[in-house]
Amino acid sequence: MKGAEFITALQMADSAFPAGVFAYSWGLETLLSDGQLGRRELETFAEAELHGRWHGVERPSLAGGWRADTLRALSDWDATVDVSMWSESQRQHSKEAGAATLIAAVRLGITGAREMRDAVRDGQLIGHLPCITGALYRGVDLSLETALLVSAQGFLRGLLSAALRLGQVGALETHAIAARLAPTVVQLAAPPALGSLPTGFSPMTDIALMRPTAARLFIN
Amino acid sequence: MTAARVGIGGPVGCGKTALIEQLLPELARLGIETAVITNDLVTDEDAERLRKGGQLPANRILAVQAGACPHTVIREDPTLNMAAADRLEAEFPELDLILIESGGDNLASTFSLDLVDWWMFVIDVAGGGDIPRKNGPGVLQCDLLVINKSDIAPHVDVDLDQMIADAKQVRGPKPVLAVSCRERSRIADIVSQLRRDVIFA
Ligand SMILES: Nc1nc2c(ncn2[C@@H]2O[C@H](COP(=O)(O)OP(=O)(O)OP(=O)(O)O)[C@@H](O)[C@H]2O)c(=O)[nH]1
Ligand SMILES: [Mg+2]
Repeated sequence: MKGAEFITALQMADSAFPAGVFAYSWGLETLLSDGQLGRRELETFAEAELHGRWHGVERPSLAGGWRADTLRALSDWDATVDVSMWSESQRQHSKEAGAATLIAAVRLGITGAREMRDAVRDGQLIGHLPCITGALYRGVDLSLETALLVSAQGFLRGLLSAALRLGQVGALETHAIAARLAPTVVQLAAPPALGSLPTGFSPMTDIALMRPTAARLFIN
Repeated sequence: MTAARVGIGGPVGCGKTALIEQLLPELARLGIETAVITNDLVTDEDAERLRKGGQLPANRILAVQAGACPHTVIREDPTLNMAAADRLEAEFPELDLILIESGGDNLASTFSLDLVDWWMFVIDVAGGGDIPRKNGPGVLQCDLLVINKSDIAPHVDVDLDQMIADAKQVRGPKPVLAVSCRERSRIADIVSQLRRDVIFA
């Protein structure tokens, strides 16, 4: 990786990058409040989510967004991702997170951001988070390999930081977990074959995400 | 023209929602089309309370969850609030004003100017007469400092005149208003300030 791409990757991976991600726990808050998940299971939970959800769903969705050469292709892919989603609340939250990401991207002048934002506004593009993210990462000149690594690491960090803010784990422990799972992240982040469809299986969180009213501090 | 975006910050329980409840009828009287976004910390209670109050159509009140970080959602990463404000503007093009209530936070909380055009910080006498002297960034940097609950100053051993004087001292020329949401006193002064500074409708 060249220096410039490395710096861009760090910036995109910055936990303070303003795109609203801090307010989503993607089911974790509900599972914790239901007692479905205990403190000590956080690491295995994160690992399972990396496999079942990030690898199966986010990775192909993001790769498709990155690979889309035209707005039309992106819109078609985005619609495919939309129909593959399990529940309406998940769909809704993914769209809202995509919209927040586009707000930041437009202000930052990222290539393609304005066109995507306008297309969402005009109903030409649904705007799911991973598809938008893939297209934007391409817009800032990240390779697909790097884009997927940034996404996988961000997904893991998002779960761990939600657990931290829910008082379930200390900051040092979150980093210890992240370090232990780093080889898994690298292994899972390999680009999918062209045209791979999202196929996830993470029933615990899928059900939790359908019960968003149980979540209070986080959007989901 | 787009709607003015106005932030209302301040510590837990200082009376931010109570102030909005008092502002809404005054704004309506002046024909100022308003919507509200609340950043409730742990519930949708403020949004629900405002909807039940019936001063605005329910769909003009949005709640945005703050992921346990009331300051992040208005300062470090205000994109969710910006997105909510964009949604309101798209749905109600006639809006003149969007009020954004922060979740209860501490004296260091400030609004990002990416999100709002102008913001007020609310403190109340029950928090202690010494609050202005603590030089919190919220107290110092806001466009308008509101000292609420003036009605109960004697009951909490606060010398209101001194508190106002201290606030003016630390804020220099920037305005300070002591109000009581309970007694509905000086609410109109806040609206006048808003009209002077941000709403030109
Ligand atoms: N006496 C008196 N009580 C007030 C006044 N304004 C608000 N209160 C009371 O203060 C309490 C908190 O008011 P809220 O409006 O919920 O405060 P808030 O800042 O929105 O609170 P959070 O959103 O939880 O941070 C309520 O019990 C109000 O009735 C006032 O001017 N005088
Ligand atoms: Mg309130």
